[in-house]
Amino acid sequence: MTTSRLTSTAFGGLCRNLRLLLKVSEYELRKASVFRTGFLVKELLRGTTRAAVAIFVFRAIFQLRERSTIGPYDFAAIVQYLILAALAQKLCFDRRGIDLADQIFQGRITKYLVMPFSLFVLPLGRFVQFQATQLVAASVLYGALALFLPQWCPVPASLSAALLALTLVLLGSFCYFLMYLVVQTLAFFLDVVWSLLVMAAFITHFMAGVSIPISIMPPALQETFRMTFPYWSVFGAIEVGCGRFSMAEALHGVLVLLCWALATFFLYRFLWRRGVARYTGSGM
Amino acid sequence: MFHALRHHVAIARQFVRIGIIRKSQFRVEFLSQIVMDMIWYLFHILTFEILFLHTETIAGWSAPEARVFLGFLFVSDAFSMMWLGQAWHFGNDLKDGNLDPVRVRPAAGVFLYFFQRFSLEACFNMVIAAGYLGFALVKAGAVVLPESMVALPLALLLSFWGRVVLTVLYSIWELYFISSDLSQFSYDFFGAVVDRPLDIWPSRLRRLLILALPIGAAAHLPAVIALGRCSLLEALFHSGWTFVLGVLVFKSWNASFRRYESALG
Amino acid sequence: MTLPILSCSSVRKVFRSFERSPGWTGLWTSFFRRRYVDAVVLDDLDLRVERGELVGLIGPNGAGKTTLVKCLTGIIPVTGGSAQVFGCDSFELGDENKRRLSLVMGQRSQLWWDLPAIDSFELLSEIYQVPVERFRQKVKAYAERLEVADKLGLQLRQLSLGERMKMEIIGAFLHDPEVVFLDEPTIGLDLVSRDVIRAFLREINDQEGATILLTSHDLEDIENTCRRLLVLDKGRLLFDGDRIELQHQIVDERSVELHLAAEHDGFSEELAREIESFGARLVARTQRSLTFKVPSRSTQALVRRLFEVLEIRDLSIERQPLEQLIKDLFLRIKDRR
Repeated sequence: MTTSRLTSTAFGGLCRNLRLLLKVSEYELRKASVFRTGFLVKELLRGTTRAAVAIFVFRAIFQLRERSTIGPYDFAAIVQYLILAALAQKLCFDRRGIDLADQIFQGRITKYLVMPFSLFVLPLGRFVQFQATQLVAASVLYGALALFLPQWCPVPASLSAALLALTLVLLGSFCYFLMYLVVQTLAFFLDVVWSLLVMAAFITHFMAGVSIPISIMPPALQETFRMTFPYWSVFGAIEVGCGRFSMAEALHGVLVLLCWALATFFLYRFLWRRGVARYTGSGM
Repeated sequence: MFHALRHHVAIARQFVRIGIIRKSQFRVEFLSQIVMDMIWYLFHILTFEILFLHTETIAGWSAPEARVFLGFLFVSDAFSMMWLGQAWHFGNDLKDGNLDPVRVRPAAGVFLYFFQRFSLEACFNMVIAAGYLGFALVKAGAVVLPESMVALPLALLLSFWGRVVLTVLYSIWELYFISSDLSQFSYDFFGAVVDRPLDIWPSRLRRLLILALPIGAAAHLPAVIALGRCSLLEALFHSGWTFVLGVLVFKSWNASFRRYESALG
Repeated sequence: MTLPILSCSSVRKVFRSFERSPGWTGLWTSFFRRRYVDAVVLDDLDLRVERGELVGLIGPNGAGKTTLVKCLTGIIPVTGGSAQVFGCDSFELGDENKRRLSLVMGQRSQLWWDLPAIDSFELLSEIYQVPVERFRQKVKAYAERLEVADKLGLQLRQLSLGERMKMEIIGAFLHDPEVVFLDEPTIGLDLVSRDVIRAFLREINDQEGATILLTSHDLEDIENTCRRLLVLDKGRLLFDGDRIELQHQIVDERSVELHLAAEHDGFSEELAREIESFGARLVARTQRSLTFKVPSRSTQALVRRLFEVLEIRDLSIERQPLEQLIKDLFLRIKDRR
């Protein structure tokens, strides 16, 4: 095959996959919005109680303290941190977003294996739908906060800081997506992956600093978490957005996320190929 | 009534037997669920320990008292994992029409559905959770005989009952809003509230959370009772009220089946 | 008059869904404004089933058979009218009455998938409070009868479809139900398994007097098992009666062929008039055989009379297969519409 033919074939394949991706995203959005009230309630309120609980925990702490700061945060700063953490966590892909493991157990991927497309497009479509929905939901919540509670509304250090922070969050969300995809692909080898998913969610939640800022944790934990993607998807992104991290640190964060994304993607591909080779398609 | 109770205890024994048979087949899952719960316990313990590095009390709860709260949280969660594991599948079962047998069989629907998935590994977690609770109670000086002989069993029963009522309550919403996944969402949404002492909230909201929704029954109220932070009368009132609320919730669950459409075909 | 064991009075069941609007534009508009569609699955249905009957319920896909079964078993409520079992509202049945009925769904397993069948049966015996000794006898007897005695210790998911269905049926009959609903129990089964299940159902009905309502797309199931037929289409009852009744309704004429003991010279005028009075006509004759076309309803009477006046060695009466009768019934309905 000549180079130009290869290129056009690859380009054609890419266009096909992009079209398919759009179609899948539409289908996923349709599926998610079948029940409208539930859709609105879930997409807007997901993750907000955890932030509210954390805010009230810190309120209770600050009410009784003699000093007015915990680590680098006063009460207002910590409330703003927790709000941003909730918004960032909202944007990060949720472990319940894909059900690849169930599809593998039940033999429902069999039909896709004989179709002329990469099955990765299907969960990717779900990711695109999730991300688009959550961006809208997070914007609505931020707008409502700015309108009704402006004194608590966190303001980014600058537009570039905000964009850099958003980039970190979205990259981080992609890492979350890939991590959950990898765990779900283990369904080819293990009977149940649900508990692994839950463990992954707990661990990454803690490492991301969603309920307590990482900067008030012991230094050993801070140093360990710095090399992980949850740190940069929430805590790191917030610190960049609020101007507490420099550009160099931000770029370090981007590099860490890109490395994790690549490594996880290749791990997924490896597991997928091995898994499909031993897949029997029996299911229920 | 006694006959009905005996009937359901016999069914529960069968659920236990079946749960044990199941787990003998899925040993990796057995181990992974124990590890999963331990990570969850560690997550909560670490969160509180880090917070207490920066303060003496949280909403009037000292570190030893907060550990008692956590102990009840763990114990009630272990109970939930032990008996109420089927609740995780409620949304899908509702959509797929898998609640049909519950409607047809001669036993309480709530019991037949929610209690069918006995988890042996959660028994191990219960032992760990109970061990932590015991340790926390001793450290907090809350084991005071003979008061504890009444307070502790009452607190534990309330904790278990609270979990059952909350689980059924969340599922009612999904019966009304099928395909909404609201039961799972509710579990996550209110789960965050259950995980902390209710004293962090303003008093009106706290009263709402205790009286209108039995959120306090899972961990907060049992810890309050065990620590002697309320009188026996208050303890009995809250327990009685939660029991009545539970009965109303179960009746509502049965009535909500008017919304159930099964699966077509 | 005794109360029927099952009854439906003007039963109506409506399911509501919304119309899908295509494309991204449709997706957004349908989020804010939806057009709801009501699907009437059961439409003003009246039905009575007496104790001990073995009733077949047939109809095309979407006729409402499974929905009717679900309404009668109390799984879903009716939208209008009333569905009763044992004289009580089927949706509000108490545990005492639930103990008297049973349901088997061919497309959905009610036993526990990852358990050996015997463990599921033990759980069912507790739920239905079957005495231990009786439980053991039943399991042994039914498992042997259905030829699955050696499979009781295997997980349900390790069994073939036929074996699984047999286990479902055993589970359904352990507690001696008075009413049993079977919704397509032979779907996907091989011929031998189907025969075994049909024979089992007939025996249970004969020996234990259980009332059975059987739905199936396989008309041989119905033909070989049921004495009474209910034909459903678009939520309405098109026919309620036995096979002979259906035949009389659908088939205008039947062919009756007689083989005579001796050569036949012809009929007397009187006999010819009598034969005419049945509406019959002679369509073919040889020296030792006669073929008549006779209106369906008069067949029995004509044959009886011919046996009285002729020496008949052999007789054959044209029999329409049930499948053909049902097809003709639907064609007639379609033409009328």
